[in-house]
Formats: sequence, C-alpha cells, structure tokens
Amino acid sequence: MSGNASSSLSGTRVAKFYEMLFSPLEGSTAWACMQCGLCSSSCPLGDAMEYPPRRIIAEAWNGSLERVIRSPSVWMCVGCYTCSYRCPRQLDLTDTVWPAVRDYALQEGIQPPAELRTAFQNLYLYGNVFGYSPRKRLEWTKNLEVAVRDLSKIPERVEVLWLVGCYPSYHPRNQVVARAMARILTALGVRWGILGKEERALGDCDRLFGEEGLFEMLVENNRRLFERFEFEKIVLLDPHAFRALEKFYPRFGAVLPAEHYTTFLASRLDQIRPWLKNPIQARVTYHDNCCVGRRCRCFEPPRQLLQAIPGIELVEMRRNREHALCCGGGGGGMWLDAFITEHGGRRLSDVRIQHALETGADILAVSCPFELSRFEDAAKVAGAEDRIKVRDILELLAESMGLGEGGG
Amino acid sequence: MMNIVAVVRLVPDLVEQLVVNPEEDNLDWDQTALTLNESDDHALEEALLVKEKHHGQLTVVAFDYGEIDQVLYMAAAKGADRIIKIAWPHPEPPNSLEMVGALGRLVPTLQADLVVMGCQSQTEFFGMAAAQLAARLGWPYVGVVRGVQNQAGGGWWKVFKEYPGAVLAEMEVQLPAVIGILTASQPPRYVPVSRIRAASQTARFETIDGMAKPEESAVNIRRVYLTPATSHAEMLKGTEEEVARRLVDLLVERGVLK
Repeated sequence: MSGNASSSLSGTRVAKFYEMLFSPLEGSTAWACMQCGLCSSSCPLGDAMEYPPRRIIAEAWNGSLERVIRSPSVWMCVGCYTCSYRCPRQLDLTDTVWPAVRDYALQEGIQPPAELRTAFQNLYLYGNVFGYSPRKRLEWTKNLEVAVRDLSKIPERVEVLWLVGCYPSYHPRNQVVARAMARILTALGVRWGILGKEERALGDCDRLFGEEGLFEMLVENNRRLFERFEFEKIVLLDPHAFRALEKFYPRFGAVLPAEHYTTFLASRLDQIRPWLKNPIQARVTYHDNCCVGRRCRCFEPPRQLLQAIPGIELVEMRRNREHALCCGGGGGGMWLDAFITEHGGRRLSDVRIQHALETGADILAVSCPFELSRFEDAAKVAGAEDRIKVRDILELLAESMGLGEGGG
Repeated sequence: MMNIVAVVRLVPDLVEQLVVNPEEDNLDWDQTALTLNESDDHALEEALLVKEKHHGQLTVVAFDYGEIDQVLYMAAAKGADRIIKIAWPHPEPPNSLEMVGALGRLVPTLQADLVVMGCQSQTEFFGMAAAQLAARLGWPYVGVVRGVQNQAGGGWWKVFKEYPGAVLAEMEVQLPAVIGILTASQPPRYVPVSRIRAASQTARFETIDGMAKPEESAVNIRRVYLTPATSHAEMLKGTEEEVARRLVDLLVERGVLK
C-alpha cells in the first residue's frame, strides 16, 4: 500500500534515504560499492531476496527505489553482519543499507509484516516487545534467594548496572538465565543493581528495522533514565542491546561503558575458577551470536568461560566465529519467522541446529536471549530434543558453581 | 466534500491489573492505565480508508481525559485533518450517556455525512454509545460492521457485517448515518513513530468546553469487584509416566476413556 504523501514530502524522504545510505558509519560509504556481489552471495537469505544489498545499492544509484520498497526483500535481513564482514570495500552494509531502505519504506506508508507491527507497537506503548506490563519486569526475581537491588526504588551507587533485557525479564525460559546471572554476580561479590519496572528496551532491533523514530524515542527515554543513577559500567545479557549501547547511543550523546556478560565474566575468570567445582560431563558446541561475535569480533571470551568448566569438551561447528551462521533472530527476525519462511523457504535456526548436531554435541551453548527459544524450537523441529540441549553459558556456569536452579 | 467523523475513546488497558476503588463502585481511575479502544482503532482506519477513497475530510473527536493527546497525535500522523477534544475534567471516562449527550450536541455542528466509532467499548456500562448516538441524532445505525463502501449509489452506502457461522451480510444504509465498527476493511495501519513525533510538534487540537454534561442513568452500579476465583487449574507433577498415568486416570474418571 502506498502512502498519501505529497511528492515534495516524498522527495524529502528520498533525500533522507540517500543520506542514511551514503553517510559512512564506519569505513567507506555505499558510493564505494563495486557491485561485486559478495554481500548477496554471503547473505544466508540472499538467494531468496529479490533485492539483496548489492541490488539495493544499484537501484539507489539509478533512483529506482519504488520496486525495492514494495519487495518482501526489505523485511528479510536478519542483521547477521555477514555482508558487512565480507565486503571487500568494508562497507557497513547491515547498519546502513537495511535501516535506510526500511525507514524509507515505512515513511512511504509501506506496511511492515503484521508480527513486526505488533512488536513495534508494544515497544512504543510498553517499552518491551511482548506488550507486557512494565510493572511485571521483576517477575523473574520471584523466589530468587539472592538480594536484588532495585535502583528504581532505592537509587544507590553500584558497580554494575545490569540491564536485564526484555526476554530475560519476561520469557520463562530466559528467566532461568536471569536468575543464574543474579546468583553469579552475587557470588562474585559484585555490587549490582537493576532498574526494575523502569527498565525499557534499548531498541537495537527496531533501529535495524528502520523504525528510527521509535529507536530515538527509546534512546531519549533511556538516556534520561541512566542519568539518574550512579554506576561504573552497564552489563547486558542481550548482545543486540549491547551493540546498540556501544555504537548508536553515543550518537545521541549517551556515551556509556557497556559490556556483554561474556566479556565481563571472562575478565573475572580467575575469580570464577575456584567456584567451578561441579563437573559437567558433556560435549559442548558454542554458537557465536552475530553482534558480539562477527560484529564486535569477540570470539574467545565465551569459549574461555566454557573451557573453564570442568568436564566440558568444547567442539566447533563447521561454521564458527566470523563465519558462524546466524540463528535468524536478529534485526527483528525474531518476530518474522512466518514471513521469512514464507518468502525465504527456511528458518536459519533450523539449518543451524543441524550444524550443531553434526558435531555430536550434547549441549549447544549460547549467549543471546533469542537463541534459547529459537534453537530449542529448532531441535524439536529436527526431532532432536533428546540428543541436544540448548543452554546459555550462564546456566552452565551457575550449575558448575553450584548456583543453578534449586542449588544444582 | 464528504465529512467523516471518527470518535476515539480511551479504555482501561488490560495489560495492567485492574484496581477497584475503596468504595467498590468503580475502578480506581488514578491507578488505571488507559489505552485506545480496539474497535475505535478500527473505526479510525475505516474512516481513513473512506477519506482516501472519496477525498473527504476526516475529523477525529475525543474526550479529553488520560493521555488522549498521544492517540490524537497518532491520528494526525495517520491523516486526520481536524482534531476536536471535548473538555472533560475527570480522570474517569464519561459514561455512554454523557458521551452521547456531548456528541449529540457536537456532531450537528460538523455537517457530518458519516460518523464511525467502535461498536463497543469496555466502558459502556449503560448501553452501546454508537447506537445511542444514532438514536439521538435521528440517523440510521448499523453496528458490528467490518467495512463500509460507497457502492450502492444515490446516497446509499454498502456496509458489511459478519455473523456467527461464517455468514456474511451486505446492507445498504443512507447517509448521514452512524456506523459501529467492529473491524476495519484492513488492519489499522502502522505509522512510524517519527511521524507521530512530528505530528506532536505540528498538530493543532480544538478544545470545546461546555459540550459535556453529567447525565444520570436509570441504571445504578451497585458494586464493582474482581471476579473471585472459585476453582483453579491443577498442574500435574511428577515424571512423564506419573503424569501420563494421572491423565489416563482423569480421562477414565470423567468418562472419556473406558
């Protein structure tokens, strides 16, 4: 459906599109594209896209965007950064092409897929993708035996401001991971606090999905919120949120020291090691999430954490580190499984679980809240839920430290 | 030019737990989060579709309570041409009689051809406002509608209703009329937040005082209370075998299995 914008407004939107597309974030601008097509052939869904990054840039050069924004391709990128990583001209394609073309499509009145619309609206109204009450953000702490410092009630200086995130706050499977994190931080003597019912999503996925206005609104709210508290650093479970805080918040004047939990804990391995008393006799393979992995080139800390656990034999999938296949959940893909399966013919998590099964691993270890549910579902689809368990690194650490659910 | 009026209302947001006031005769409105009434959202979409197809003018009308401005900015971003707020100095929504009283006084001043609003709302304790408004105006009313089209000709419009059992009905109604919308012909459109934010800077609202007056109903609310739990679900615990055995026992006990 096209919008009812006047041509002058439309002209302004095109100008914004070109500004977003051709303004360099890191490295070169899209003008430097030499149309080699490596982005398209590297994209895990490129074969199913009518307009992969190379073609979008070519169409932009030609000024023929109308067909592009009406193509399902617009909504098929899952933000895996493979195109950016492999581009020989080092173009930051994931963070420029897709947000630009999606923003333009939205401004022209193109309707995003229904599931994505719901996620956007929930973020706008409630600050979380589920559409749950912000008052229920603390439900994961029920029956937690360690003290939780809720800074929204008693603001006090902390070493770590832990942004729990939407999935670990609300999603039952991920709440287990949040509780593991709380126990580990407490065991390590970290003075940590959370924002309780005042926490809101940081908004990386909506930025990647072209909802710049929503992202800006969340940044403004979060920036004002963070200014009220004293902390040394922010630690996050969600790699997408980490990425947003690290790269995009500074553009709005919010320069904040942020770490993903894998790097934060790996830097404290000496302190953790004495706690790792319970062996976990298992063959484990690790799935590199795209934001901490390929995008931030941080591959070793998660592996160091896993290898520190007695009994674990770490094995690699055939595609690992910078070449790891995406789970398909990033950049809004988490809410577009039906759409992407319809237009792409597959879910990337179903492909990736096969890579994990090939290794003969008993456990697929992950470090992103999206991946637990995606891969557990994929294991069921593959009929392999008895062969492989999906566990967050935090769960494995907590178990070995004697800090798992029920003290296990 | 065709004049379309869409009425939008805020209703309790059921994402939050409802809180009853100490007198137990109403909700505690100071603790009640409000959100756009779902069928009003659809009515707005249907009004936008009619406006776009017939180059009409769309006026959005709302009572001024809660955070109605946010809804009206959204309506402006979607394409509303004129926005009118009816002054309402109370935290709680007007009852349907008060709403209809004010709308009954306002609508004739707008030279409206078509009034659309949600066919129902959680706050309609005293009957459905859309039907009452039509009666007040002396206009025809069709409710529980899922689409409006100008196909009939001669000032007659076609409206579509859906009945249980997948029965569809097409009706003709002569304008001016009030239409109670259940769902729009297409899902309410998504408008980017940047457009809503832009509208919050540029949109102008007209606020009308003295239109809304308290109206008494012949129906009194005696008590408002949360539904008491009289039973609960039993979660079966134990190993898979134990749970399966218990399930079989239950099915036999209830006569499903023999």
